[in-house]
Amino acid sequence: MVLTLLIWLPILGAVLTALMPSAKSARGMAIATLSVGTALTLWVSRQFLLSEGGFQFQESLAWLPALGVNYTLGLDGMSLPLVGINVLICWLLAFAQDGSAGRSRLFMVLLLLAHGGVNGAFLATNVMLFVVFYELELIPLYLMIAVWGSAKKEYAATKFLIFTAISGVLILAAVLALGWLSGTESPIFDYTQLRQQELPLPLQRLLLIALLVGFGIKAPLVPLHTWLPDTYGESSTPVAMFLGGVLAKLGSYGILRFAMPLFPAAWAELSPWLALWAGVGILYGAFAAIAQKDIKRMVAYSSIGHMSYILLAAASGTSLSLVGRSPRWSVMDWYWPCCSTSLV
Amino acid sequence: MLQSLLNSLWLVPIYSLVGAVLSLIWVPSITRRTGPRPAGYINILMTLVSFLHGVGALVVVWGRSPLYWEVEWFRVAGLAFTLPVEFSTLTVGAIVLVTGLNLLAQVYAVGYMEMDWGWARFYALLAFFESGMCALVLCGSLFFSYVILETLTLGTYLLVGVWYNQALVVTGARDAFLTKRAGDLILLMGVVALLPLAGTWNFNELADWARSGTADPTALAWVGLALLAGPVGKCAQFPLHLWLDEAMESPLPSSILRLSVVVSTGAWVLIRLLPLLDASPVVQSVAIAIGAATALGTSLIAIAQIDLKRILSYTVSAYMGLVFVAVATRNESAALLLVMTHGLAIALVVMAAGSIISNCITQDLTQLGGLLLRRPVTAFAMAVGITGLVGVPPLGTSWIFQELVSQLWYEQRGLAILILLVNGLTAFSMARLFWLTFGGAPKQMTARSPEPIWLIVLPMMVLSGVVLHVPHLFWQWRVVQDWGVFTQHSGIAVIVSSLLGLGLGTLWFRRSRSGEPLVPWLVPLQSFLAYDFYTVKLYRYSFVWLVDRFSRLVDWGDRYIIDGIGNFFGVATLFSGESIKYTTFGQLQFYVLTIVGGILLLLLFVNP
Repeated sequence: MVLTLLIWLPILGAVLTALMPSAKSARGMAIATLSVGTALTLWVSRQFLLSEGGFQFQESLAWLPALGVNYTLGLDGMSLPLVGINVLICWLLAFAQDGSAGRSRLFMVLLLLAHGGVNGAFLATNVMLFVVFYELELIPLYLMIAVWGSAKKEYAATKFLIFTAISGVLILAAVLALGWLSGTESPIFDYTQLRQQELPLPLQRLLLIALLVGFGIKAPLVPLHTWLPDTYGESSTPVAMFLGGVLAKLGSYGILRFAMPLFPAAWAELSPWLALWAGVGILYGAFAAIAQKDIKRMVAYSSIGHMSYILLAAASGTSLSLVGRSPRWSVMDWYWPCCSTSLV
Repeated sequence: MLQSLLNSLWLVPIYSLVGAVLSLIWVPSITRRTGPRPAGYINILMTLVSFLHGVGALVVVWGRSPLYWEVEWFRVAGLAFTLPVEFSTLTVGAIVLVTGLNLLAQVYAVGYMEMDWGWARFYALLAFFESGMCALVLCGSLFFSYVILETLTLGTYLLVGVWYNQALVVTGARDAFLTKRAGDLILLMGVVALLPLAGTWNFNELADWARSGTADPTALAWVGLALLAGPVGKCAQFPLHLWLDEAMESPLPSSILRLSVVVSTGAWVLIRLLPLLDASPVVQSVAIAIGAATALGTSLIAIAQIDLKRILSYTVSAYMGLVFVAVATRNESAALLLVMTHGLAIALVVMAAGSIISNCITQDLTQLGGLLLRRPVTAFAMAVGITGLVGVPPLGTSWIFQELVSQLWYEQRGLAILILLVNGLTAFSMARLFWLTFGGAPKQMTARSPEPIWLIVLPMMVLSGVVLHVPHLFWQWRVVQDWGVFTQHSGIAVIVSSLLGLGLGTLWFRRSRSGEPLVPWLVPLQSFLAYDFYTVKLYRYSFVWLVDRFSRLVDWGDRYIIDGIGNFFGVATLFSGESIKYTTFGQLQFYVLTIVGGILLLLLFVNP
């Protein structure tokens, strides 16, 4: 039940925020909602048993059982820090947006919607449910970029939408194929069941590549990254914080959660190439960052480089490197707050 | 009671951190109310506590076997991060040296920075430095040493940049940070590569591993070279030497600390890694080559400088080069003693230089002169520092140089001669510094120059006393036993080289001929040395240029090729949409024809 609250409480809060009479009370409502969310997250992390693997706090509700699509949620050691980061950054953002940018009620509503959507993507254990949330958070974000950005905001927002939509289509295609190829009566989209399924290697390879490109756009990995510098550069600092601190995690989360464990054989086969790809991405991001004159674009490129570090850790696939990726994530999250304070 | 002083020695790095954190209270609004001074006093107090604690612990640990502790930080995926801590005479002694010098430097700063408002920041950074260095000497793990070295790099950047509204300060801080980072980065590669090979980061276990001979010599050589890069950056050795002279833009009291102990952190790590370097002849010879080249090169560069502080910074590089040579030739204890005596002597010289700069308002040697009678106390301190620095018996370094020369004379005579040569050159450059400052007739900048405030003079005098007592300490520690060594060939050689350098320098610069080259045809050589072998230009036209060009190329490719492909699809979609728009004629027959054609095509596909 608590995981459902983590997702739907912000969305309920968004509705209430929209009904608030003034911008100030709307901000208060948003902060209150996020504070409750923070408290919930803290409680969850206190209750979380570190010694146990697998999903905890599992919830399950039949939705479309004939199609294998169910509302199942779960929290494990990988999603817990990300959920925490999500709520922390959003909480900070609600404070950072002091109304000077205008239309602050709309901003709070969108922020809460995006926050709930991202939490849903992190908590979903049904792959289709993940895709639904993954797509849903695009809508508020598109508006956040397009409304509060700088001169080229429409261009940046549309670019972001198109790139991410392509990413979504690829992931949807791969996920549908994965579900239908299970050969059972109704397709399987449940994460735990999918992990036990073994597909033939050529098929694995194909699906893995589709997922990698899909999540690679989101992460982003070179050369699928060109939406990112424009989006970061053109959006307002709080939105850029959300993009860099929270949303950018979805891509690498997808790689680590789905691409790697669902296709172990193909992953093992491709991993040397992935490591090479990551190495190129790291250098590419670093060099491109050196040449930037705009500080937001500079951070954008260095963040592209950092995402490749995560791919490198995933490609090397040792238990140590996989543990190492979570500090990297949190470092990334401090990045944007730091950047934003320096800009302010 | 006393034993608990030793057991709680891990508190020492924390004391100064507490001082640094307390300085945060002095934000501008509070500084306006109280003035900046209380922040400084708190830090001085904390340093005094550290110093007293260190001295107490030294009394306890003296002559006893070291105490080892291990603190586990965390354990993950089969890798345990444990912090080994070592309380031995050596480490506690190093703590006393660091905290003692920092105490003197901080008191000195009270006088020197009298008019400054940035005390809280400055003292907090000094405390941060002290804490880092104390932690480094206690820490027995390569990994944590690396971490601490990085924080010291950050500290250098911040401390050099204290007066950040001056252009030279900004470039100095940036260069110090980037140059050290270059060394640290390679060091990190070595640190990471070492773990799968040796399975430990503990210095003592690493030593056992290196001695066991199980390691692959090629891997050992590569790792050793990478590990060497960190100390090369820290100790300002070729080719990463150029940051130290630029770092002289920092407030002088911080230079006291930097030139005496901070650069020595590199030497400290090098000494701890000695068994590892020892196992690979390649690394050893590279270390010797770097040290020797730096010692000779920078002692020559120092002679051509006209900036008082830069002369000292290059001299420090030269001495660190000698430490490299000493370490690489396995004269570990001589290296440690050299680090200590050099640290004390150079700190004194920097203090004396600061005493001049503080009220002559210039550090340009061509504008100084004639201060001998006006500034007798400073002249005395400077003279003591200089004689402590170059090998003049009975002061400290002469014993060490004698020892090194006698050790190396029969095996590596070139290195023995090098040490004598560097000693002679340093003596010459120090005599030049002394006489250009104190000799000759007074100039415009020195006509009115009294001794400065007692807060500057007192630490200077205390340190003079310490420097003069170094031989006494050596006797107490039984490092030296016998005056007779100075009648041996090696002792005589050291004395002759020092006297030759000092004598020639005195003869030439006694009557203050600053600015003039020794001989006209030496002008190109003089500028070559004065501009540090044109290293800055060389780097600008090689590495910096390459990185700059390449990053611009990447940016261009990103903008026009990779982003261009994405934009091409966008434009192509829009364009095709726009063109298809014109097919809407409004003729029903044409639409029906298109639909029929489409259906036919589909049928063809479905039923082949």
